[in-house]
Amino acid sequence: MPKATAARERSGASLVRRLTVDPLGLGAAAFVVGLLAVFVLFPVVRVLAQPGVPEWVRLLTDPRWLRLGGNTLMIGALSTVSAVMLGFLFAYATSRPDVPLRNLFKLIAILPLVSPPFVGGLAFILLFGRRGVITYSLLGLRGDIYGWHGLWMVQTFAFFPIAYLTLAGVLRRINPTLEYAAQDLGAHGFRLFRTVTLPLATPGLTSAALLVGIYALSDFGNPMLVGGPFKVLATETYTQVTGWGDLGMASALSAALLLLSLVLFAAQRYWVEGRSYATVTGKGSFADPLPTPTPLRWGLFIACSLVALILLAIYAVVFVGAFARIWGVNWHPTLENFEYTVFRGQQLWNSVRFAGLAALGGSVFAVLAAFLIQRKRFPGRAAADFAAILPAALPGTLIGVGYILAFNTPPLALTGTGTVIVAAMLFRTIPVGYRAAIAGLAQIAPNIEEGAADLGARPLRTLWDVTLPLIRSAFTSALVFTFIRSMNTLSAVVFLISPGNVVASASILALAEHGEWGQASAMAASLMSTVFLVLLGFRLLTGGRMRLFEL
Amino acid sequence: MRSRNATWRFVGLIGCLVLLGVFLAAPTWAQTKPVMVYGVIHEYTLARLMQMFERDTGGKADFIRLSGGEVATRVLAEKQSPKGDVIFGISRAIQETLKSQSLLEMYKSPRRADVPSRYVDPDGYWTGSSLTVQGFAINTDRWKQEFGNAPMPKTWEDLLDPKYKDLIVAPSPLSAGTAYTFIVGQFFRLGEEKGWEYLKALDKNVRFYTPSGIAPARMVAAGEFLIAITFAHDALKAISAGYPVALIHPAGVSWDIGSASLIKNAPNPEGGKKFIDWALGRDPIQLIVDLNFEGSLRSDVSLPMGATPLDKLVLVDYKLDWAAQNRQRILKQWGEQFKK
Repeated sequence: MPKATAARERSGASLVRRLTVDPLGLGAAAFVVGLLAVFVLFPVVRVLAQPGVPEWVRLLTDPRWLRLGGNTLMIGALSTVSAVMLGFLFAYATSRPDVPLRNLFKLIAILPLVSPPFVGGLAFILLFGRRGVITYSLLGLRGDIYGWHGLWMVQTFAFFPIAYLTLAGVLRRINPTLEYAAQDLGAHGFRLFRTVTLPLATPGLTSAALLVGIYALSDFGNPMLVGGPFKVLATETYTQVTGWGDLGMASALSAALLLLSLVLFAAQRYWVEGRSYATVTGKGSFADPLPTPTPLRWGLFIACSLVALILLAIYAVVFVGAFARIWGVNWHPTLENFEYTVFRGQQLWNSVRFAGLAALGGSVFAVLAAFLIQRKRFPGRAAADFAAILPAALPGTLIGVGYILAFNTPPLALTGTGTVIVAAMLFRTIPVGYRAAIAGLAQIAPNIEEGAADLGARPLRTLWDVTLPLIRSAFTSALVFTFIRSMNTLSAVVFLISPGNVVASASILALAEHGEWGQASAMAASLMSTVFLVLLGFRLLTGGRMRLFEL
Repeated sequence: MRSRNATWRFVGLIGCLVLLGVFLAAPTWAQTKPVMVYGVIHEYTLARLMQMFERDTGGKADFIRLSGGEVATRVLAEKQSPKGDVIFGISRAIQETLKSQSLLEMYKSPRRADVPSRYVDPDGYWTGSSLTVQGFAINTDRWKQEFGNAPMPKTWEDLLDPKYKDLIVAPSPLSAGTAYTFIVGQFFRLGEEKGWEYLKALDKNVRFYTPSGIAPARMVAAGEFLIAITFAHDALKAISAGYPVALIHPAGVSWDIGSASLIKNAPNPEGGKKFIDWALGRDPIQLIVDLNFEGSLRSDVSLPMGATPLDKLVLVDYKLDWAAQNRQRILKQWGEQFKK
């Protein structure tokens, strides 16, 4: 059926005809394409045009960069596999109604997203480092986390929520009747899982792997803290700018990273293309999911509990650190660390304001773009799809630098304003909402929409009555994800903050870098609490009807 | 229809969100045009400095804290339409780079008379604000646990002892100005050839090189490593915070100065000049010394708490021009030889 639709459109409809049939759709498409061009492609082009010949030569001839490229690929692959597996474990466990404490696990799985960068890695060192509270004081271990193995662990914990979020929605939407049907046909246990559940989760899995992979490739904070002698390209990109202000070399390295991300993108494309994963076909189901076999249920429970305990310990460190006089030295409780948070309270408000705006704009934009790109045919569609996922492949540093270069002069002189920060936050997180919406849409067979159209519904009506309710969860995911990520984003906005428009995450980095861990923890704890309060308020406001992060 | 109601609720919610968006977007711009400072020194110190400026002069000043390289990147990227007025506390190496790219405005502050002439740019583009010296920091708790009452290392050569294998952490010059200052300091101490030999010998004991110049002192404070190559103020800060750290200045330590400059085509040049004149005065510099533990270039400002007086230190003869001219070559050579 979808093939027939596509063929009909390709052969028959001209642009003019479609314009008369669906002017709104095409106008919206122009809007989406335009914004993506200005706020994603233009800054990237500006950055890529920055390096001169010497930088390109250095990039291609210096064996150091090749070694770093190899490191980047290796850790990217390891972390992606483990984070997606962990994400799947959590998503699968929380999708089974009979797994104990599943609602708690859902909450804990998003903790790493709520924490500002650096802070999680720092807490990890304080717990598991050479003198970590757990490794050294408690267990007496003489281990050393600095290197690829430590980085692997930290990245797995840092990025599995991204996989979890993508997969949770997908797994929840798998129609339980399919599992019943499979069981009636004789498939049980692992076979049922392997032949039904896993294949249906494939678009989610590849989406998750793509996102996690790209996040891992462009992660600079964790390698900086725990990578030790194991250096990767993203850290180098960041430090080329922060250390010597070598914009040319940083841009050239960003280009190399971009290339790796593009390969991932193409691979994911190739994998999912041409397969149908539609499970919402209009034949509604009120069946409860199959009961989980007891050993599996408890296995899932124990695995999730272990991970949850580690995560809780990491974030407990932040809160304990906020109230301790000196971490590890003087544990007397104090409120002194909060003095600076109050003194610079404007920053916290700026964070909420900018992140709120980015979330509102970003989620609408992400769902709109996903809908248009998934369901409509228009010129530049493939390019728009690429541009919507591209920001995930861009190191934050590149986005920050690109935005300065692109928006410092008229016609779009935005630097020095809050607008440019909001735009950076919005477009940096676009891929997550966009991929979630695409994955959601991929599960909705177009025949529902076609059915509505056949019954006389106009495109807007179809969108309103049929498609929107089905991608609501993608919308709310995007809203909440963008808000949380933007509250904590750092590498891009650090170049865009201006006096009066400073956000809390930038202060946290500055404080942590100078070893003011108490003050940094206090501000981080305030930031995390603010995020939770806003989420709670949002949930109360919507009477608990709105799904937040599958919670 | 269940889904219809849900859709309406959803749309209602979107409406609420749009209203919220308007509220969030409502501008809260400041009325007077403040002086915009790009500061490299500590966040907290900068915040207090701005507060003091407003109290002393009645003017308004705001800041952002960036690393030295970030300031350079930003000023370069904003070249067509600068957003900042003043660069404060940044190392001479970066001032010289900015100067050579014509990104600075010449400004000979009357305060230049207050500091020795070797700490101001003869061309008048920057004026020294603080003096920072290097050394190494030792975690005293770990020392007691692992080496008991043995004497601590006192010279750069002492650090080559194999018993410190993997216990030393140092910054990487590829990304940290701190490390470059250290490396050329060894060249000025030993001559370049012997300097490289020293670095290679030291490398055997270094666990790895951190991208950030501040990180080693912090890691030693936390007990992750025993010894850090560091600027004194980063170690002093940890000591004053209560961490078990000892700071040692061997003979032949490298040093740098922080400095202030005016950005070319700054939006508020008069305010910027006023800020520089004020910030290089006695009280603001004393505040920086007290909060940031950097040494002062002014004779009327006291030493940072716990710091060694300058006349007790043996500084290397730091040749700024040589360090600037040979940087690319040295960094390339370092990158080829040191892989941690």
